[in-house]
Amino acid sequence: MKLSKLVDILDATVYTTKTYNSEKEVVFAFSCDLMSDALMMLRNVPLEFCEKGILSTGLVTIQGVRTAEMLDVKVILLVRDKKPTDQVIQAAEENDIIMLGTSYTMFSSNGKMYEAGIKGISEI
Amino acid sequence: MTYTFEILPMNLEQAGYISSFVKRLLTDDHISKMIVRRVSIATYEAEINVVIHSYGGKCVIDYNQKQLKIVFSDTGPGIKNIDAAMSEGFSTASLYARENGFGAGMGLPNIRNSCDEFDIQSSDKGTILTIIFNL
Repeated sequence: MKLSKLVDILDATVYTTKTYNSEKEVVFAFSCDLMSDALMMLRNVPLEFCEKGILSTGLVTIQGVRTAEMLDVKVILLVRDKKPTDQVIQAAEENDIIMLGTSYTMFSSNGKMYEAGIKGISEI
Repeated sequence: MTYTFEILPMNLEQAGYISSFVKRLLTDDHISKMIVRRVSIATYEAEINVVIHSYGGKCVIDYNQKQLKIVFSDTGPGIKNIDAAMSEGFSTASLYARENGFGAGMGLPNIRNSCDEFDIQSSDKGTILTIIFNL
């Protein structure tokens, strides 16, 4: 799925205008608020998938960006209308990460993504 | 080459600096991306552990063409029960750590599973974690 479609489905805000690429392909998502879970669960996901992955989280601190950086995940989706600081946005852009935000809850945004064809890590 | 970094306690703003450095270092040297990912994850988890659990410490990185050795050492308070800490889901993390996305009790198991050699020694004087990656 192209990222522009995801933005449309989630009525998402693009926070990182410098790194946003509407044509970027995304194929799977992983959701958590504890970054250790992401670091554990995505550790063995093949690189080519991680680069097309979405980290969906309510964690709005710099550690979400760091976690995506270590995992080579290029898209962070902030749920529940969480707003990143300028520092967090800058850190994302410096690491070539796209940061989006939606007012939907994690459950609802995941449902919308899944309905549109985004898979979970157990299905890729 | 040897690189040394200081790690400040409870400073999650800075946490990740060392792992970012290591990731760039290996990437610039064209090390396999999967190895870089394992190193990045283990280093990041270890760095976070020192930040959220210790009174502060340091990280020493020894890097050559064949091997990457990273030693994290801190000044306490130490891990009371290492066997429990190595169990997935066991955590003594503070609310501060959890509010910042850590404390799931997966850190040490994830570090152990990401590196080629793992050693941890701990007393009330501090903890020394040594992780080695074959390159």
